[in-house]
Amino acid sequence: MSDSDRPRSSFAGMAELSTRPPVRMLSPDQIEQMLAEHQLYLETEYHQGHRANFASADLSQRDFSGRNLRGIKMDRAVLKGTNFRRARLQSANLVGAILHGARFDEADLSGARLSGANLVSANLENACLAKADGSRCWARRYCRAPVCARLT
Amino acid sequence: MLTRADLQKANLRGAGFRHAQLNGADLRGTRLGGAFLVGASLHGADLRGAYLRLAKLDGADLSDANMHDTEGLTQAQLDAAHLSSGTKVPNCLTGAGDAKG
Repeated sequence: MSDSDRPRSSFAGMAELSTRPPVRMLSPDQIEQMLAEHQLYLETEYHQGHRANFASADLSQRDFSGRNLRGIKMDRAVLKGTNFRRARLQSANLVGAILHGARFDEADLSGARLSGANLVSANLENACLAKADGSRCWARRYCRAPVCARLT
Repeated sequence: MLTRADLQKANLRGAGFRHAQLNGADLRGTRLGGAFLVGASLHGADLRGAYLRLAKLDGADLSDANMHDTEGLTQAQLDAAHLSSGTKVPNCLTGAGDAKG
């Protein structure tokens, strides 16, 4: 039977997610370095630093809670049980990511791309995935002093 | 420009969305079986083709949401949610506009 004859998953729609690239393993130092560069990238309005690219990386069980990860690339990453609680993930690319059991409670995912992602049993309590900018999203119901301070 | 979150064809089975803000989100073809959407805000969300069997929608705001061609959705689930006349429900079920008419 040729590949074209085989039944295809209904999830293999827009993006070809059935053929995953090899998973990248990164050391904790590499991860921190990339996050620092990303932070600088955001703080300098894209003039310095680099947008972090964690595509296809295995970051399972990592703790990104409260981090500013706006626009980060994590497509097809393996993020099982990863903690994104209160993280800022506006416009993040999480296409095809494996997010089984991940925590996104109170995270801001407005404008994020999650098509084809696996979020089975993930926690998105109080998360924002609305068509709105983050400040509006938070201010509506979940404004807390430390969060608002980060958003200004 | 404000863009909507894109969750097309994501597998969200059993995920917890209590009080989550999903206004205008693209949820077409998502697997939401057993998902916990109690109190979630889905105003104007696009749920066409989503699978919603046993999803908890109590108190969820589905005003102006498009639920055409969803699978596994029951009238009881819809009755527990907040609908508007602009909510599009599967042909076999009754929405807010239908009840009034």
